[in-house]
Amino acid sequence: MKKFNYIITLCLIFITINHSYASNKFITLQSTTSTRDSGLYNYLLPIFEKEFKIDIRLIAVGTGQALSNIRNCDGDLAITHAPDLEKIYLSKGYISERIEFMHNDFIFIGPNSDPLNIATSSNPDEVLSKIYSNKTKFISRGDSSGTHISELNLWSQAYLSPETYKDTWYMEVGQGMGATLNIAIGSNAYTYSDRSTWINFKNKSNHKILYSNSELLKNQYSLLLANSTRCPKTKNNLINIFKDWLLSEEGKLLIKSYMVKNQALFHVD
Amino acid sequence: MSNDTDSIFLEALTLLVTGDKDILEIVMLSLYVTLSAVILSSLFSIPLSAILTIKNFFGKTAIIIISNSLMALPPVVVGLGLYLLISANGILAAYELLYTPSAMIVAQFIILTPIIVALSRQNIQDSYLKYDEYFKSLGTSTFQKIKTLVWETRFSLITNALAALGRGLSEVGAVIIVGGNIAHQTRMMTTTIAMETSRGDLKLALAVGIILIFISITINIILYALKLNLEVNDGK
Repeated sequence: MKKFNYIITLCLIFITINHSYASNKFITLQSTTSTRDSGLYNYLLPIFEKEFKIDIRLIAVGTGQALSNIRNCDGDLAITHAPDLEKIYLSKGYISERIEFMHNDFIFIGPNSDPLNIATSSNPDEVLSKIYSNKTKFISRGDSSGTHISELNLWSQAYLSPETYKDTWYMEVGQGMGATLNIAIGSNAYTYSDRSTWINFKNKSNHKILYSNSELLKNQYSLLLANSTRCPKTKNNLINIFKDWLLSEEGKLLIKSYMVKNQALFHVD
Repeated sequence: MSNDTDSIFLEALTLLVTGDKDILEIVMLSLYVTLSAVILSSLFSIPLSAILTIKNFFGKTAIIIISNSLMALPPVVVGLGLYLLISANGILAAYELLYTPSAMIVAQFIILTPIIVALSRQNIQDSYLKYDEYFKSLGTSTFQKIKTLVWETRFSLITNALAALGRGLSEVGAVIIVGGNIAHQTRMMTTTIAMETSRGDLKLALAVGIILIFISITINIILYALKLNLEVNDGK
């Protein structure tokens, strides 16, 4: 019987340790992976946490999942990059506010040798039609992320429908940006990425940026606030503190001055 | 390539030897979550296996079939199902489990229990066949039977727990959904590996993988020694 008591005690210890995880004040931030992978949060959030003594619990998932999580009331804030989808969420009342606060751009990645010569294209339409008419392997996120939605918009703007070639050269991998880049590099294919993930990506191998156009391929990030009428547990006062800080001169300056390999990754709006 | 491999091992070793604070935290959380899940699941599964062996009752076959089938459940599905239950809109929302280590323990408990039940039931059944006559002649109570059977099969049961431990430590699909891979809160070894792979830092991902194997080997050595020691003391 002694052994039994011992086991019960162990269980109680586990449960007690567990409770100590519940810390003081915190807000839950649902975010796209690209901003996490860029290292921005590791640089930005500790400054906020120290100044205001509010912890930020960061959940990095695709934009689609981040939006559905905040719709389920499993987050106080979200940072995503799918403007059209976010506007629908706002109009349906799934979120209470949407603030465009920073941007960078999307880019086309491909093998250094650039067999299609997309680097000399004059616009994104031309890049896509070269890939399309040559039936060259192209890796698509295929995961309803902000980057995926942006890619699909480009195809439809160019009046091309690669969906019919899913069984041959147009490959939907349904994974995050990094995993998609790994696949594109492994199969010597072209792909579409956001700039910050690419700059931070460590397995570049023989791939590089072949086409970029900051005007036409803008990547807009927005801060979304959960709707406290739908989600009563939303910590309104805490998220307002974060919002005000992020949009303040201090917050803007911090974002602007975040550099990786001597390049600014985000521009404030 | 061999240069690359060397540097990966070197990185893993450096991380381990220098006792990198973040890595240590990640390793401790992995052990805490999986060990808790294994212990809690064993406490539940072993008596259940014994009861399933000794007692005949309505629905017993159904329990056995369902439990065996649940072994095929992909962890991602367990994660999603649990997420829906403990999410702010779920029926268990009041417990505020989402994105906590407790949620990850519950997820692993669900994944590990069918495995421990299936394996333990086999061991206990084998032992029961041996003791059946003896129990009958003494008119042993159910509780006494369970105690005897569990004690007699304890070495096999430890091996079962080890199999479950391996499965728990290597699991990523469920814990990344209900835990959220939050730095310093719910980041485990496997979720780190998944994250670093997606960032293209294959070296760091592999280094953490090597640490995981190293820990697994250490645990197995300790338990093997313990088992040998127990067997010697028993005069076997």
